[in-house]
This record gives sequence, C-alpha cells and structure tokens, in this order.
Amino acid sequence: MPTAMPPMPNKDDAHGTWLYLQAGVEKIMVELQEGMDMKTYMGLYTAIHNFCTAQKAVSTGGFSHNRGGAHLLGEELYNHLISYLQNHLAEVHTRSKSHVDEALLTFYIKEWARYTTAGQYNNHLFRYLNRHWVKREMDEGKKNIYDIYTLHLVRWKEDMFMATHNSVMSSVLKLVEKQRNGETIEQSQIRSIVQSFVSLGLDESDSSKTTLDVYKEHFEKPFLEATSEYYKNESKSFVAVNSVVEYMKKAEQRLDEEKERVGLYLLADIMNPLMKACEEVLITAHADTLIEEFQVLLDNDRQADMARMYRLLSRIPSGLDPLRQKFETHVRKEGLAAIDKVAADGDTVEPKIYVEALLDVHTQYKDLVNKAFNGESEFVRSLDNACREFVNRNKVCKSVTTRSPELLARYTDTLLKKSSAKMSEEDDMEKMLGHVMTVFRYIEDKDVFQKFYWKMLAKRLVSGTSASDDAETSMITKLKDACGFEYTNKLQRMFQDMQISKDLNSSYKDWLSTTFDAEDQKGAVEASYQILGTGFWPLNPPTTTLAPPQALIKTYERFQTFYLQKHSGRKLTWLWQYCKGEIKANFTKSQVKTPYTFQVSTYQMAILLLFNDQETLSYEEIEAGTKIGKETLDPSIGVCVKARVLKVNPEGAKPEPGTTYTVNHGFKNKKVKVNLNIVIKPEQKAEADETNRQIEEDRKLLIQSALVRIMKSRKTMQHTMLMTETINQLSSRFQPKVPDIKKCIDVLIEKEYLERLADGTLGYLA
Amino acid sequence: MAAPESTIMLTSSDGTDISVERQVAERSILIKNLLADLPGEATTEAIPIPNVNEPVLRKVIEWCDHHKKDPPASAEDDSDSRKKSTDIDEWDQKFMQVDQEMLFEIILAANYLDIKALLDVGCKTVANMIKGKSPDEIRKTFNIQNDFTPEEEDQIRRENEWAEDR
Amino acid sequence: MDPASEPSLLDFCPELLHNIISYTNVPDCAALAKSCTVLRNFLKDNRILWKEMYLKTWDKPPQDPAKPELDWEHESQHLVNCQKLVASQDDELQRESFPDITTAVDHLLQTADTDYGTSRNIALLRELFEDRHVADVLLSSSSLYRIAGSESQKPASSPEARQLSAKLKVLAGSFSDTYATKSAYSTLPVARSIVYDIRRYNRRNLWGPFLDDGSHDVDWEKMEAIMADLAHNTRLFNDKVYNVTEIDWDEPFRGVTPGSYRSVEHAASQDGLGQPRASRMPREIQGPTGDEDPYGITGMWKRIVCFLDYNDFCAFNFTDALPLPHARAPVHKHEAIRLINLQIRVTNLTPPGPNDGQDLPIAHVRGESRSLHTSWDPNANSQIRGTVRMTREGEVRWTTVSIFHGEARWRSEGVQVGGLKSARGVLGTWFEKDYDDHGPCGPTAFWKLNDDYNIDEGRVFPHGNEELELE
Repeated sequence: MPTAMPPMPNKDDAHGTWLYLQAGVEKIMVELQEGMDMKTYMGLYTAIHNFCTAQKAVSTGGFSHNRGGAHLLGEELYNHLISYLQNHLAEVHTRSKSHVDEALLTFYIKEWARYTTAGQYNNHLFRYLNRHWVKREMDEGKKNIYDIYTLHLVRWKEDMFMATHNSVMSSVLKLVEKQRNGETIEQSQIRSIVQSFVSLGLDESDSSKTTLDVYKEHFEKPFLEATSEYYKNESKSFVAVNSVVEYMKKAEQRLDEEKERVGLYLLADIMNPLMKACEEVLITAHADTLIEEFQVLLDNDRQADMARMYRLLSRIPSGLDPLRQKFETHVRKEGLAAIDKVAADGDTVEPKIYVEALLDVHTQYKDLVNKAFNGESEFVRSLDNACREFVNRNKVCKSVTTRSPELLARYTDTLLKKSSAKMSEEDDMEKMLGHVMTVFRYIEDKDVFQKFYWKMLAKRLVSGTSASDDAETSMITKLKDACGFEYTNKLQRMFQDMQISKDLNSSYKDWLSTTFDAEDQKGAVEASYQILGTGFWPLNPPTTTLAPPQALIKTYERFQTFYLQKHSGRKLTWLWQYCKGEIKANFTKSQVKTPYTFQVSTYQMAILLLFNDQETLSYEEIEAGTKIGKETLDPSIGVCVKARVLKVNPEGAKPEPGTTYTVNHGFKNKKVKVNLNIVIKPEQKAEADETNRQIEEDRKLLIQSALVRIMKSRKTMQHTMLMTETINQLSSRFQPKVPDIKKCIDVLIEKEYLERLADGTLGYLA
Repeated sequence: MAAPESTIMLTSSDGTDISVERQVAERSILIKNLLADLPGEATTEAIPIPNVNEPVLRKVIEWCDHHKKDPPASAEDDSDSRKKSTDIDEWDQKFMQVDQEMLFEIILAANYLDIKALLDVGCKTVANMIKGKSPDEIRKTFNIQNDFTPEEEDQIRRENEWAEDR
Repeated sequence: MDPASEPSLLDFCPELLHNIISYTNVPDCAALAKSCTVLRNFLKDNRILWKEMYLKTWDKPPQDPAKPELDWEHESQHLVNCQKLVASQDDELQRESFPDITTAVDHLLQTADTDYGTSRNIALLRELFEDRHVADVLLSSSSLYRIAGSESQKPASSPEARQLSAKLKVLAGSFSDTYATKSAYSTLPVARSIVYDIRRYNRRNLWGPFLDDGSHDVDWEKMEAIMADLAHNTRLFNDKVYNVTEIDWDEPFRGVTPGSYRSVEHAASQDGLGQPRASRMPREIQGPTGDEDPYGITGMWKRIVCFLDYNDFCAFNFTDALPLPHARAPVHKHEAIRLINLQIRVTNLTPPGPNDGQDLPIAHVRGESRSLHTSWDPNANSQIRGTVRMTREGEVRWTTVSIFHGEARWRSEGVQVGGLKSARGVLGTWFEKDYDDHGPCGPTAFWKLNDDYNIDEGRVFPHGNEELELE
C-alpha cells in the first residue's frame, strides 16, 4: 500500500512544507518500486518552488538582508533533508550488522543501488533548491553545501560508508583470495563495490568534480597490501621446492593473471600500482636468485629461459644491469677463447680463419640479443663492448697490437682477389664484405686497416688481380659510410686513375695508328700503361737503376711523347719494379709446336734479353748490361736459375762476380706459360714491418696537428685537459697512447709551437 | 520510450488541458525530468501544472515550439560571463512585445518550469527597460515609490557620483 | 496605460531580480540604487551580483588563490568613474585626475586578457584613448612638450603628473605622435636631446631609465623619450630598408599587458592568418619553463640600438658646460640604427638583493648577439650576459653586457613595458661598460620573437661558465 500524501502546504509555512516533503521523500526512499504518481511528483516540486519564491520585496518592505545582497530561501529545507538522510542511513547501517562476507556485499550493493536511485529522484524534485539556494551558497564560497544528489553521496559516505567499509573490504579480499586459489567467485559483486567506492570520491574544494581519494584509500590500499602479502608467501614456498626456471614460469603466469584481473572487475587506474606491487614481491624480492641462474642459462644456451628472465627483470628498475654485465663478460671470454683456439700456432694465423673466428662469436651472440633480449639497445651495447675488447686485445694481438686490422685487411684482400671470385657469387661477396664491416666497426686502429687496405688495393689494381670493380666500389662505399669521405679519399682517387688509364690506352692506340705507318708499328712492343697520380698511391720510385732493353726503349719513349703532348709540364716516373711482361723462348730444342712463354718482371726481361746476343754471360757482364743493383739483380737471376732457364757455372754458385750463366736449351716445363715473376717470401714480412713503421710516423703527425689545432683555439690549456681533448679528437681514427702524445708535445715545444707555463699549463705560440 | 514526435497533455492551473508535442514540452527541464522519472504515467495522464494559468501556459508553449530545435543549453553558458550577451534575437523581441503583466508572468512561469533560455530572454527584456533610465523613469516604469527622506537623497546622490558624466 | 497599475519590479523574488539586474550595465546600477530603499539595499554589498557585473564588462582578472578577491563593487564603480573622467572634455579636470586615471589604466592592463585581439579591457582602452582630445591632454603633458607638440599640448604643472602622463604615453604607444599637425614641433629632436644627454646618465639612476633619487623607480619621462626616438627611427627605417614587423609602438596598448608575449609560431597558428611552420624541426633543446624561467627569457629576441655619430655626440655634449636641470637643445642630426638578433637563455636564479623587488629571484642570462646587417659591423656580433630582476616598484628591470672576444664593451639598463612576459619588451639605455662620462650612450629596445634556443654553447662560450660582475 503506498503511503497517502498529506495535503499541499501553504507556501510560507516552512514546517508544513517540510512535513509534506518528508512524506514524499520517504515514499521515494523506501517505496519507489511501488511507483510514484504524477500528482505527487508535481506536488513535491511545486511545494519546494513555492516555498523558495515566497519572499517578495513589496510585501516585506525588503528582502532579509543578513550578509550582503539578498538572502535566498531554502536553508531550512536543506537542513531538514540532511537530518532525514542521517536517520534513514542510521537505520540501514543497523540492518547491515546482521550480515557478513558475501551476504554483507549483497546487502551493501542492494542498499547502495536503492539509495542512489532515490537520490536521483530527489535531485530532480529539489531542483529549484539546487538552481538557486545551493548555487548561491556555493558562489559565496560556503563549504559543505552540495547539490542534492551530491548531498546524498556525502551522507552515505559519512553515515554508512565510514562505519562499514572495513568489513565490506575484508569480504572483498576474501573473495579475491578465493579466486587466486582457483575457486570461482561472483566477480560482479566486486565490480559493484569498486564503482560505489569511486562514486564517493568528492572533491572537497569543488563539489562538481570527483576524485579517486576514497577509492584509493579504502579499496586500492588494502587491496594492494593483501596482494603483496599473498604473493610474498606463495613465491617463498614455491622457490623452496622448485627450480628457478619453474619459478620464472610461475611468476610470469601470476603477473598475467593479475593484469587480466584488472580488466575483469577492477578500476583500470589500479594497473600500475598493482603491477608494481606484484613485481616487487614476485621479481625484485627474487632478483638475486634469478641473476645467479643467468650464467647457467648462458653456458647452456637456454634462449627461451633467458628471454623469460629478460622479460621479468626488465619490469623492475635497473633489473637488467647485472644481466648486461654478465652477458658482456661472457661474450668477451667466449671471444678470447675462440681466438686462443685458432691462434695455437702463434703469429702465422690465417687471416680467413682469424676473421671467421671473430665473426662466429659475434653472430652467435647477436642472435641471442635479438631472440632473448628483444634486440634491446643496451644489450647491443654490451655486445659491442665485449666484441671491441676481444677484437682489439686477444692472443694474436699480444705481440703486435695492430694485428687485428692488418689481418682483417688481408682477409678483405683475399676476398677481393681474382682467385676467390669463383667461389663467391655476387650476393655472397656482398655478404662477406658485410661481415668484414661488422668486424671493422670494432677495430680501434682504423688507420692501420686503412694503410694495409690501401697498399693491397694498389697491388690488386696495378697487377690487375682485382676480382670485380663492383665489389671494390661496394667496399669503398661501405668504408666511406663508416668513416667519412676523408678515409677513402685516396682509395677513390686510385680507382679514378685506373679508369683514366683505360681511356688513355685506347686514345694512345688511335694516336699510334695515325702517327706511324704499319711498318713502323710492327717493331714496337705491344704494351699497356697505367698512369698513377703521385701521392695517392702507396708506390715509390724504383730503388735500383735499370738500363731498359733496347726493344722497350722505343716503345716507352713513344708513349712518353704521346703523354707529354697531351699533358705538357707533367713528369712521368717509370715504376719498373711494378712492370711485367711476357717473352717468348725460341731457344729450346724440344719444343716444336708452340714456344714457351715466360712471364717476367722488367728486370728479368732485361737480363734474359741479353742472352739473345750471347749464349753465355758472366755475372759482371749481366750487371754491366742491365745496370740493375745487386739487391734486385741477385734474386731476379736466382729465379731464372731455379726455373732452369739459365744454367749456372760453376754448378750451385752464388750470383757474384766470377759466376757465369748459360742458356739452357734443354728447358722443359709442363706448362706453356711459365711464371718467373715470383715475389720472394721474406719481402712480405718486411713489407708489413715497413707499413707498421709508416703508420707510426703518420700517427705522430696526426697527434701533432691535433695538438696545434686545439691549442690554436684555446691559447692556453692544462696539460691533462689537452691530453683528454687530443684523445677525444683522434679516437675515431686510432687510440693514441699517452706517452706518444707527451713525446709529440715535447717535439712541438722544441719547434716553438708551444711553451710551458706555470702549473702544468701549456701556451700556444703563434 | 516515447517517440520524439509523440504528444503529451498539460493541465493548466485553471483546469484547461493543452496537448503539446513532447519535444516542445521538454524545453522545460521540469517536464523533461518528470518524463524521464515517470515514463509510464506521462503517456496516459495529463501533467498538472499548478502554477501556470492557461494564457501564460499557451504563450510559453508558443515560445517552446519556436525554439524546439535549439541545442540544449550547456552548463558552461551560465558560468562564462563572456557569453552573457544582452542581445535578443528578433523573433524573441517580437514575442516579448506583451504588456508588462504578461511579461512578468512569463518570467515567473519560465522560472517555475525551468526553461532557462526563456527566463533569460524575459530578464533581458526587463533589463532593457531599465538601461539608460534615470531613477525617476525607473520608478515610473516599474511602479516603485520613492521612499527616501531628503537627507537620504543627498547621501545616495554622493554614493552614486561615480556614474555621473564629467 | 496607467503606470501605477503596472506590476512592480519588486514583486520578483531575489533570484529573479538578481538575474534581471545582471543584464543591465554597470552605470544602470546607480540609477537603480537611487530609485528606492529596497533596490539600494539589494545592490549594496551584493558581492555575487557585482562580480557578475564586473566580469561581463571587463576581462576576468587572474586570480592568485593566496590573495583575496577583488572588491568587485568598488572596482567596478572606480573604473566607470575613470572612464567618465577620460571621456570628459574638461582639460583641467583631466590634468587633476592623472593619479586616478593611471591607477585605472594600470588595473585594466594588469588584469587584461593576454590576447590582444579579444581583450575587452584593451578594446575599452583603445576606444577611450584613440581620441585627439585625450591624446592632446592625457598623453601630451610630460616635460617633452615644453618644446615639442602643438599649442594645445603643454606639460602638467606638477612633476608627478608629468611622470604619469609619460607613463600613460609609454603604455598607450606612440600612435598619438601621428596625430601631430604640421605646425606642431616634432618630439624626435627633443627626445634625442634627452636620450643622448650624457649628463642624465648617473649612478643614482643606474645609468638607465630610472629616477635620479636612487629609488630605482622608473623615470617614465625618460622612457617616453626613448620610445619616441626609437618609434620615429623605426618608422624611418621601415620605409627605407628592412621591415621590423614584430613590434609596433604605434599600435595602441599592444603587448603592454603581463603575459601578452606569444611565440611567433604560436601566434601564427592561433589567428589563422599564417600557416604554422610545419617544416620547423622539433626543438633539440627544450627551453626551461615556469619556475626555471619566471621572466620568460629563454628564446630569440630582436634588439634595436640607435646611436649618434661620435662627432655629433661630442659636439652635442661637450661644447659647453651647461648644468642640469637645463635641457640641451633639440638634436636634428640623424641617428644610425642597428638591428640585432639575441639568442639568450636563463643560466641560473639567485635570491633578490635588498634593493630589489622580493617577489621573484634574479635571473642570470647569457647568449649570443648577431647583427642582422651584413657582417661588416663587428660591434654587433658578441656574447651577451645579463640579469633580470624585479624593482621594488614591481617593474621588470633588465641589465645586459655585450662581450666581444672575451671583453665587455657595452652595458644596457632597461625596463620591460607592461611587466612580466609582456610582448612589448624592454625599453632602455646603452652606454660604456665602465660608465664612462665621455660616452657614448643612446637608446635601445628589445622584444621577444619566439622560444627557440639552439646555440652550440661550446662554440659560443669557450671560456666556460664564469659570471661577470654586473652591478
């Protein structure tokens, strides 16, 4: 039976108005489900309106006027409503005491829903109060005045929530624990509780806004505490009886579950603190145990487990630092061990084997970084640190610290030489060069590599043994990308020279045919020429004199005429030691069909051509005929003797005055073409030493020019500061050593570029 | 849910039933809330409007009908004083050309029915009647008695010197 | 109709009466209050109503939560009163009202919306001041008009009033100079005779635009002369060579409100006129904000420096020994003008000294100064160091030193017109770094262009972080 409404009150009668309103509010609070009629609804609204607007200036001779401006009516109704709500909620609270656990949650949620629905109704019915009296009070900055719906929430918070939230929350936590233990629960209940707690978050300074304060204090905080406690206990007992790998699986699973829980019935806002709380007890508390296991996983290459460990430790602050350290140490050790293995026979290690050993280690751990450590840049850095270490400082580099760049340059040389072209298709070549660059990036003494590479490239170009122009260009581009234009400047110039020479040869041929008649050309030797710019090539003029054979003189003089016509004022220096040729041997008896062809150096050619005029020549005669210095002459003759082109008399005599040589008419060889132009072994070792000596010289100059550059701009500088700055400027090229810099400073002081001032300061003398 | 074009019935204080398009009636926040709170009742019964008589209610409905397509007033309009323009659009000006008693009744009804835009138009119209007038003209227009003593007059003149042209 | 039968305004309940009155204008409230006791009482002390009235008439003042709200009723009435004073045709009344009017103008500027285009306070000020009569009386009553100006323009009788007139002029801008008739004596030669007068530069006024009494309060008459000189020169310069478009002293009240500075791109994207520069790369160095840079220093500024030919300067200053306060003759020699870009940033903040305003710390500044002219003028490219601080009066004071190859050469002292972070920027003086009585000296101004700061500091400051003594 709906309660009957009392009669409409007089508009000036506050008491009567409230009695009427109370009956209506009571209906809304407790009987709303039984419906409400329109007359009552309009009656309640109208009663409030009429009461509030009853004040007229004319009838009272002015508005009541107590604190500036005009006083609006409504306060009495507002206060009546407050006491009504207080009484109502006291009764609800009393009833709640008879419920516990899930029954309490059910009760709380039901009463909350009923109360807030009623609050919405009342908010509409009291709207006139909201629009004017409440608004005015708020505008005047009065505290603790709320619109009617908010007032309902405030009362609930004070009169119901404060007295019950502890028991409600403990019921919630019991449910959650049940679920964590694997039982099924009524999740919607928790969701409703969360929502109701959130609704109570009112901003005290601005009631139109809401905050999460109530929810955070009374839900989030106890929830997080319970979560930490639960997983603290669980992880402790789990670790005690399971392996670390098993524990990591468990922890990951639990973290996933909690993340999912947020979506199921918690506020999204809790995600970060909840994850942090779980990470604290599940990961941070066990981080030491995990990190200890890492070495075992590394040793056994357990990628999946390492990936899991990475994921877990990446969630906590600086959790990965120890892993990166261990990883770096491990890779360095592996790298050094790999070199130890291939360097068993000391200095004679093959470039290919050496470089491949370096690459294998890099490839293996690069792969691990990508697969287990998410390619993370910090791990990449650790890998790079380790590689730089074992590439530059290992057993092979022990005696000669610049061995790594030298071996890498030699390896590159073998790749780019004709002999290996057959086995590498173009793609393979690109890949191999890519590998070279991988190692190259770790090389500290990039100037050493540059020097060796330069020399070997020169040799490949001059001797025409380069496998492909494309591969050469590709390599130079790669070096340019890595080190800049200056680094490859000479290399590119050398390439240009080769191209220009090619063009020059063909225009020379044209010139020949127009300048000389066929008869005249017949006598000439067919030759090709390379014009190499002084200063760009690692080539020096011959160390020995030579009287070129008559047949050549005419040939090269013609070219010289041609060239100087084209470029007057230039000077051509003939680098006989790099020239080579072929001569036909018509002196052998056995040969019938085709004569043997000898591939020879210019020097050998000069020697052998002497025998066209005389069957037997003494050492002195050869020396006089060719004017070749002893250091070149002796090995050149030696090769001919060894190949049995010449016979020596007396047998086995050294090349020295008194020895004579005779043409061996009985010469025999399996091949028609016989190569006599063989580099004598000790030369290679000497050449490497020479290169290293040049590098040292270059470095001194670089250090000096860096010092001067710095001092010129700073004028005066502390000795130590100057050291640091110099090292900074040069480290992209090579790692200058402190004693070397000191020596250079001394040199500059001697040359009066610098002067010593007081307190270890240096000054610049312009 | 009732369709937007459905009609409802309003009963004026003097007992006349007036049929109104629901959308028009919902310009009144009071009626809008009522329709939302009592969805069943309102489609079958007339809504009693105890504070507004038939002529005024019809006038109010006329205004609501003209403005039924206006966007609902947002809460910010009220607080942002910049938008507190005193302009009245042409139709509303014409609409408000009624005798002063009707004008005041419309204001009271708009206040009761919670139709903010109409209330504001009404108040602006009255404000325009005040603007630029001398105290005497104000008294005459709004039927106000000069109740100051001569001493008070003098003091009040001094109090309000700030608004004098110089 | 019989008016007696009309329903009374007093029939309404207070909330409706409030609503009605809130749609009237502020002066109507006086008429209402004068009509009867009920309305008089209703209006008196009605804070909420007066606040509404204020806010619909003028810009919303920034509210410092630590300070009490404005007295809306009193402030509204004061502002209306001052508007009536400015609009008055009574010259004598106006000249007597400088303190009231300046207070009101100050209030309107200090509480103005920072957007020049939409601020109601600015619109009102423009409406009031862009008037020939107002310009003649209120904006032309400083000492400058002893010689300069037309017949109707003359200096006010008291030094205080002359200062206030100059202050109004500096805030309003130099637009009223363009009203001058042909017969009027131009302000430029007179302004020159002030800014290039080395006798006026002394220790008590910090060699800057401050009063000679050692108070560090602004000497607005000096500021007026500096503005007049620079505005004239900029006008000449704009016609001839470059266009200085970012600053316009002729535009009434532009950029003289606190916080009115806008970074150039920002302004472009807001007014919809220019396209925001999409090609601009993301800034590499994020400028300091808020607490680190309370004066809004860090960024790109443009500076103008004017100077007299050294011979002209000496002839003007040293041909006789005329003592102050006798003014020197107007200067008709032309000046040279230099445009300079400054890139500066805050390096650190230190507590204010006893002679400074205490509201904000002292900001230390450094950066680079580059001539916009071709590089033939080696005087323009230098390093800049400086300080920015509040004066006790509440004005923003800038001190800068230009350093060439490690050696200080010029100093400047200036005041930011319109206060903290104003768009108008700084007006002031420049002079020799050791305060040389033999000069040279002259006027300078600088204003901020944008928040960009991308100096390679290693290049610009090879000498590290040492601070120069600026006092």
